[in-house]
Parts: sequence; C-alpha cells; structure tokens
Amino acid sequence: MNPLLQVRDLTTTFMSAGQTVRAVDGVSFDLLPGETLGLVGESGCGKSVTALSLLRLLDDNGRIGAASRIEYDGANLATLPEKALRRIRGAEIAMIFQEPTTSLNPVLTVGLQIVEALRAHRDVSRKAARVRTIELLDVVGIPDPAARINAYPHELSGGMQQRVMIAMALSCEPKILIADEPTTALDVTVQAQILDLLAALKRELGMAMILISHDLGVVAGLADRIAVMYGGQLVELAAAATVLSKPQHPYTILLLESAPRLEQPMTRLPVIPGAVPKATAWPSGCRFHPRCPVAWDRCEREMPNVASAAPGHDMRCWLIDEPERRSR
Amino acid sequence: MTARAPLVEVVGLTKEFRVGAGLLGRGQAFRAVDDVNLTFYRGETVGLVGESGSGKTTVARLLIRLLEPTSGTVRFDGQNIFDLNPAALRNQRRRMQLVFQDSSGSLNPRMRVGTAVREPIVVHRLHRGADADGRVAELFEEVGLDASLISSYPHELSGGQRQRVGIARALAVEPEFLVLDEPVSALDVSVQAQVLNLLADLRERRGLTYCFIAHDLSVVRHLADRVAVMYAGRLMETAPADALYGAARHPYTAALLSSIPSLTPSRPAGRATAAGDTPSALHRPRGCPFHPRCAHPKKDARCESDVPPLRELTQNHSAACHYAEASTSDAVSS
Repeated sequence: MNPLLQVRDLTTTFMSAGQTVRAVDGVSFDLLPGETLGLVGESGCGKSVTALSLLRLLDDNGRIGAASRIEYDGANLATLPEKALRRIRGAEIAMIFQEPTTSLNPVLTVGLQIVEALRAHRDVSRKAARVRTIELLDVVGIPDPAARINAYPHELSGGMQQRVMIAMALSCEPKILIADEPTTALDVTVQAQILDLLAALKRELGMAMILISHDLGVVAGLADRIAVMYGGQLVELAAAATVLSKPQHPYTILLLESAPRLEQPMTRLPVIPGAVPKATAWPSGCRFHPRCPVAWDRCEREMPNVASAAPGHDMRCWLIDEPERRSR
Repeated sequence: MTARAPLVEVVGLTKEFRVGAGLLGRGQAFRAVDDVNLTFYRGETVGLVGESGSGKTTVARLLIRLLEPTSGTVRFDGQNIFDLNPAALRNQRRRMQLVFQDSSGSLNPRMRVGTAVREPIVVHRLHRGADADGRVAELFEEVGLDASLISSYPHELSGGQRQRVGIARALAVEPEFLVLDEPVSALDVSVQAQVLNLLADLRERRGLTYCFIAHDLSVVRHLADRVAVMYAGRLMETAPADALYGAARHPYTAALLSSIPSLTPSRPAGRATAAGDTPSALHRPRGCPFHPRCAHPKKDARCESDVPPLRELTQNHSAACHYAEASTSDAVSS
C-alpha cells in the first residue's frame, strides 16, 4: 500500500534568545491510507511541533529545515506555496486541538462556524451547507443537532465543544485527521466518549489519523501503529501491540513500567530518573542516555540513527548494534 | 484498620457558593460540597477522586480551613477546626498542610526555593538562624533534592523538582496531615512515578496521614488505603481500595473505572459507560445527581426524585445508590 503521507527528515527550529533551538530533529514516518498512527511522548518531546509542521501552522518564529520533506499527493508540503497549501489544509488534512474553547470563535454560533469552514473549501449554497452541518453534528453525536446548530460555544460543555471541532474537521471529508491531545482537557468519562467517537469515525469513514497524546493509554485503544518521541526525535515506531507489549527502546520500556495501572497495584513504581530534557539543551549523543539504565560510553558520544530492530519495528538506539548490552 | 484512632473526622460538611450576586439580587446559591462525611484514620491514605465540578478541591480547602463551611464540622484530633480562634488556628496549621497541583503557581517566582522552605520554619518559630538553614538542607535531602538547588529560583527547576519543593515546604512545619490536591497531575508521566514513590516513602518514615485528591482512579491506586468517590458535591462511594477497584458498587465508580484508557491491548477502547457530561453546579439534576448519565439496569423513577443517601453495604464499604446491592456489571474484574 502506498503511503498517504511521507515525512522525511523533518526538522523544525525556533529562535530563542538568539539561539537556534531544534524542537523537532530528523523525524521520518509514513502514514498509510486508513491507518491511525499514535504519536506519543512527554512534554517538550516535539510531538505537537511535528503536527503543526505538517500543516505549516508554526509561529512566525518557527522554521522547517531545507532538507525536510512532507510528501502528500505528489507535493512537498514543506515548500508548497501558501496558496496551494491552503487548498489542502482543512480540506484534505484537517486538525483538531487540545482546547476546543480557544479554537472556536466565541461570538459566532457553532453552526455558522461549520458552514463557513465548508464554504471556504467547497462551492455549496448556504442552505446546502446548513443541511450538511446538521448532518455532521449528528455524526459526532450531538443530541438535537437542528437546535444546537444555533448554540454559541459557551452554551456547550467541553465535550460538546470538542465534538463541534471534530464535526468542523470532518466537514470537507479529509483524507487525514490530525488530533493533537484531543481529550486532554476533558473529564475522564467524557474522554472515553470522545475516544469512542474517534474509533467509530475511523471505522466508518476510513480516514487516516495521527493521534497525538502524552498518554500511552489514550492511543493504545485506537492506534494501529505507535511512534514514541523523545528529545525531538522518534525513538521507536512499531505496531501498537508490539510497542505496548514488546517494546525494545529503554525509554518506551520504562515509560510503560512507570505508568500507574489499575491492574497491578504496588506501593513503589519503577521510575525513570531525572527530568525530560529541554530543546535548548539536548544531551550529547543519544538524548535519553543521561536517564537510561543501559547506556554506555558510546551512547554519550554518538547519536544513534533510526534502524530496524525487527521487520516493521524501527528504533533509535545503539542496542541494535550491541544487543548483548541489554541486561534487563 | 477499625482499631485505629481517627485523626480527622468530617461530619455533614456543606459549602454553598453564591453566583451572580450584586445590585440586582442575591444571585443563585449552589452547593459545591453537600453533606460530606469522611474519616481519616491516623497513618491512613484516603484517595478523594472526582471529575471537574465534583467539589473535591473545595473539600481540600475546607479540610485545612482555607474556606469556612456553610455547615458541618471538621474535627482534627477531636477539635472542630472551625471553632478555633485565629491564634489557635495558626497553631493548628502546623499540624495540617496543603500541597497544590501546580507548584509553579504556588511558589513565589521571585523567592529562592530555599527561602520558600525556610519561611514557614521561621514564621512558626521552630528554628532560627543557622538552625533553620540546617533544617532546610535536611528537608531538601529528605525530598530528594540536591542541596545545590537551595539558592535556585522556581523557574530554574523542572516541574518535578518544583513539586518536591512544594512538599518540602509543607513538611517544614512537621505536619501530621497532608492534603495533596492533584500533586502529580501537572507532571510528565516519567516524573509522576518519582513523586508518588516519594510520597509513599514520606508516609512510611513520618507516619503521615494523607488526603490524596485526584481526577482519575489510576493515580491513587498505588497509595490509597481507602478511596472516596465524589460527584456533583456528594460522596458516591467509599470503600477500602481493594474492594473499590475489585467490586465497585456505585454505577458512577464503575463508569470512572471503565473510562480509564488501558495500556493492555487486550482491553481496548469502547468503554464509555457514562453518557453525557458532568453537570454544571448550577444545573444539578434532581434526585440522584448521576441519574441522567447512569447505565444501571435497575434505574427507575425513584432515582429521578429521591437523593440516595450514602449507606453502608458491607463493613467500611458504602455507596449512595438505591440499587447498590444489584450488580453494576461494569466493574473492572481484573
């Protein structure tokens, strides 16, 4: 199957206090048609900047590296003229964000906002757009959509606002939906509803999805493949079940072990020492080496490349060269 | 557990707030906390779990009297803290402390973290001068912070280090009771475990009693001896941790448990068992506050009209559901 989206060597830099900061550094992955790719990592790992880079939604201060390629439908989105990119953004590749409250315009009804999104990309009459909007609100599980179309964002709960955002993202039937922490601001019981909705949409609409979260549990139930990011780089990428049950990278292994689980209560949790690194001061060599229980001198000196640990299973770790070092 | 002495006893605790009060009227009252009864035994950790609007943070503030209740009492070692005069309350505060969720918001950004930890020691006249400095160094070591960080400013520390400073500051007055308001929610997953382990160590070493507040049940699983679940200002269920996680009796607890995304691929998504949203405080349903979202097979008209009281089902296990005896069927079985 040909990939729908091919990201190669994506590097995104920001200027901070006169210094160039590499927030995303050499990220490569494919997104297959209909596939859900989970992009997981802790704060500052570069997962959100990766997502924003794909659609060039970065602040003025953000730059995508000259060698970066984001291949979609025969075009490189990294260098495509803004006008051409605008035809893809929102229509073919749509995005939803963590905070629906800040993404919605507070003075327009939610219906009007979806109608506008539709008419920005499609040549449809107001009336047809309105009918389609009611349909979309129904698809995302908003009760009584014909009435809710006239509601203002503040009249809706956080969960309902996120459903409106999803309806807006779906309005042009995108090929790819990028969801950046779509449930992080929601209550646990409402998060479960939104995850169920995304799962149903994935099944019924067959669109590809990039689901970004700091919580492995959130992507576990939805993703076909999971990419783990650390220090601005992809460190492990494999089928979801493999990442969750047979991870190879020491960071992924520890991240899974240190997550609180309902099934296995214990008083002391395994920990990863230290804190997540900052983009202003990435460690030398492998960026995880200061916190890695396996690291040896080479890890401090040389940055490992992404290599194949097994078919369909990539990782960025010197253990691929020297597996006998794994003592665990 | 039953033979142990209670340290903090909460009886009938109720807090009303008024919104929209002003020139045009007295506004509308709502009960953020409604008739909460809860006992903290010495050395015990009670997990207080609820989603937004459940009233858990208001309870936290009432427990150490940062707020005055509308009615009800909090007895600390037999003494109702709301009866204390200002001087007595100040003394009492030495024994009970609050640790906030967001340590960057609760530490003064222009004060060195060592000074922030030293301040309560001096204010409460526990130590002075070099003795106080020595005490700060000991506290830093106890919470796993390098002594070199004493002269840092909050922004120079990571989130995990700042939370350790917040804990050191709370411990500085040698309290017996710590109210931990979402102490790890703002931290990265890899750092959460460090702070949870630290809290477990401190509890063991100092015999502390904790009220551990969280918005989901997985975080408190590792520390709590008992768990109390709140919804719309009321307690829905209280039980020893194993009983609650193994056999939840309230449909809301069951929904909370099944809503937690699982890391086990064999337990995939498809588990939203509470429809709709958490109710806003101004528009709480009549009867059982959970009834519009409830999936209990026995739900009926009584749930819409009568507020179910929290009642004991088995020893130490209580639930506020008319049909708590019937199976909730969704309780996590593993």
